[in-house]
Amino acid sequence: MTEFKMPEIELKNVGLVYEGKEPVEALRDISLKIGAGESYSFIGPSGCGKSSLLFLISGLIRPTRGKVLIKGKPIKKPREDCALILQDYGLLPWKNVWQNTVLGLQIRKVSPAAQKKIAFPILEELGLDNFLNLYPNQLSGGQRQRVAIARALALKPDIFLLDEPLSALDALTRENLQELILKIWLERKITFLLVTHNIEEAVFLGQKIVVFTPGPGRILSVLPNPEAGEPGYRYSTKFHRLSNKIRNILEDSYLVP
Amino acid sequence: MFLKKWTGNLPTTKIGEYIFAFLFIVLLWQLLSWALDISALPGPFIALKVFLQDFYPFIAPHFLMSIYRVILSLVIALLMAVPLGLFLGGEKKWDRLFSPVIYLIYPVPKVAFLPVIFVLAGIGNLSKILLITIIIFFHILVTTRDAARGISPRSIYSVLSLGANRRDVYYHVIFPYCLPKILTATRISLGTAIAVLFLSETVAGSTGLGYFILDSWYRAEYAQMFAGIISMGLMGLLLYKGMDLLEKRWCHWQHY
Ligand SMILES: Nc1ncnc2c1ncn2[C@@H]1O[C@H](COP(=O)(O)OP(=O)(O)O)[C@@H](O)[C@H]1O
Ligand SMILES: [Mg+2]
Repeated sequence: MTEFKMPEIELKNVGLVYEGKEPVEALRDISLKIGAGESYSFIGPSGCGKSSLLFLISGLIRPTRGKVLIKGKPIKKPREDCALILQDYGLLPWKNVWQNTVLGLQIRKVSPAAQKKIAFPILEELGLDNFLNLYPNQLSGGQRQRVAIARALALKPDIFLLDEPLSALDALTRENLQELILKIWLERKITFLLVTHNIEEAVFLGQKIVVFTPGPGRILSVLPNPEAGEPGYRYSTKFHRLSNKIRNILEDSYLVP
Repeated sequence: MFLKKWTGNLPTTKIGEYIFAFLFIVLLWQLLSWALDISALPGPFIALKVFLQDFYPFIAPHFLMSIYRVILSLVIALLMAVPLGLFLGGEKKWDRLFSPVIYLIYPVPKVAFLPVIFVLAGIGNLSKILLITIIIFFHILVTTRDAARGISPRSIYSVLSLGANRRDVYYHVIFPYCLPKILTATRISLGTAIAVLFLSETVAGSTGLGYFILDSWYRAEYAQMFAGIISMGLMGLLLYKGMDLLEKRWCHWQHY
């Protein structure tokens, strides 16, 4: 007998249209079930609605059609157990590293003493403990991204949404942070949703890879990738074969409108 | 790196630079007074001498009264205009309702209301503070609202996703984002405020530097008149420096 397990995140025929003078259809008929502790990569051309999908799941916007369920409940506003890192990291320039890191805790009315207890070990783990008084524009891109990660981890989320977290970084910093993100996922067993337009990154970090069509985004295919997270996977032939397959799917999707 | 250093030093003016500027003005003044050779423009040294002799006890009360009027007007205008501006910039519906009203009133030179205000509020402190407040209020209101409108929804998303309510968004995002622009607007308003103060003090009443300057003029005490003008300059300098300090304190993150 198979045990019934509720999916952590469930999208049921989700469609999204941005209203305005000229309505923009961002997403069309997205259905997806994501289990607790799984990691998903979303990949697709720019403008296909990847960011919008994360906004939907984090409860910042509502779908025009269909349903978004988290732990079986329709989502009405941002949830406490869900952390989102925006494309440009979403740090506040007028707050220093420490203030940015504890912002979520402060908003949740966690006492300053408890803030210290929670945030400091995370900042140490991410190598930021010497930069507490610096402001975002005094930091490198990689350090900024670490602060954004620290701020999200401080909330002890069950669901971690990352929107192109590494796209603005140089190659070396990028690989370092990919390893860091992988480590966070392996250690904490959080449900991970990662948006990227980098194929290798999608394959390196996602147990399932969801490929989108150009906007309005529809799901083109969902590729299983169970080896994600295994040591040395980046250098295996399987890794390269899957990367090439995704490259071909994406290229074809541009040709066929 | 170079650029950062250069812009980082930009807002600070060294004492030496002030001394240089002071000497330069004194020189220009002296040359002009020699060239014109009229009693209405005494030399700088006689004016400075009278300034130093008369400041206490004659000018100081007027000086304090003027600076009190400017600061009080600024504070009242800020307390009213900033919350309202942030609110209108953040809430589109209300903005749409109010912006025609603001657009109609904003371009009218409020000094034109001076006679009305004198009639309604008398010729004392109240009318002067009222006039300056109204003028600064609109300037700061419009600047603050426009600044708040300019925030991208995505920078608010990041805080909303942390569980922020509307109050948190104003406190953590909208207000700090607008603060440098509010301070800049206040600094610009300061010039207008002092000009309007002078005008209102010369039109009616018997206090303030504007009155002191005009009264000296009537009595043909030109050195004393210039001592009053120097006091006015000093007041402006103090107010501008005060604004600089506030900017440095509250917006230091901008200068990295
Ligand atoms: N607030 C908005 N109003 C109107 N259109 C929007 C808005 N946000 C995004 N869009 C449009 O929706 C589509 C998908 O955007 P987005 O989710 O940012 O795509 P991606 O992250 O894949 O680049 C784009 O065509 C974009 O222009
Ligand atoms: Mg995007």
